[in-house]
Amino acid sequence: MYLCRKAIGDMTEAEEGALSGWSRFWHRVHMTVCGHCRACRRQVTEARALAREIPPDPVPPDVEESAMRAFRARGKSM
Amino acid sequence: MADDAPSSESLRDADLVGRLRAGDETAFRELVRGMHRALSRVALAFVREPSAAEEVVQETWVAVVAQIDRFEQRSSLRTWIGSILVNRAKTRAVRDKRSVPFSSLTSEDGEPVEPERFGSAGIWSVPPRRWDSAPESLALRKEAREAIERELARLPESQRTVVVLRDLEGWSSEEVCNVLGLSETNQRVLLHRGRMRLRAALERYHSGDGA
Repeated sequence: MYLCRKAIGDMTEAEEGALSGWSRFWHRVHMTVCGHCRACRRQVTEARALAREIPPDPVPPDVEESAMRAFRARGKSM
Repeated sequence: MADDAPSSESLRDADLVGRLRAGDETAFRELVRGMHRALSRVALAFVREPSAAEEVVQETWVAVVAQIDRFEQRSSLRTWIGSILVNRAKTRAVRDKRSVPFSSLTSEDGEPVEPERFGSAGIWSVPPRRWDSAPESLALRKEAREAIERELARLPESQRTVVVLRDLEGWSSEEVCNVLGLSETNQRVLLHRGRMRLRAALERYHSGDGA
């Protein structure tokens, strides 16, 4: 039987298109009928959306400066 | 015919590489800023020390500038820059005697969902707690995001790296596997475990259990 624990375990593989044949079929069927697993999938989607909103750290000034110095030096040598 | 058409990503890369070769400083600065989180995260996964990771990123940009004319676009620009960084990070890790192959970190964590939440038959015994995710105030959304950010910082190194690259930076699975030297399967396992832990943190936040 393809049950919740298996469906949750396969969630990322399903999304990545990595499930094959019967697994893909049973995963789809399970997600259609199981509200708890669908809720879990929605929550993963929500967590990912929130994660995307995390602002990136600024580049440390010395890293950016050294990169820009190298870039300008290359321009001069061309 | 359509299969031979260059992807929008490779067109973007070609345009960007052209601008870099022509000495466009704005394009280079944007690239440095845009890739910083991804590069410092990957560097940290290998060298572990933030100051060493910063140096590796710094050296990587110098190497990118020196080699940009040799970039042949056989991979994406991100993959190429990421691979330069990984080579440097590995060298640095060996020098600092901190060398841990990334692939050896892939079994750092166990079950993606607490096994006790399923009954013996494999059906939820403690199903996901529901919450109303409809219109939230900006303040509440920020709080939820901070809960996710805290959990992200607590993830095992390998999961955090894969989640940051895939979900925060939008890298493809192919790019992540190529740069980190992971198999597709291992990459998916890490991504799955990381995502499930972020979900659990969000569930705890909405339940008022803290996260």
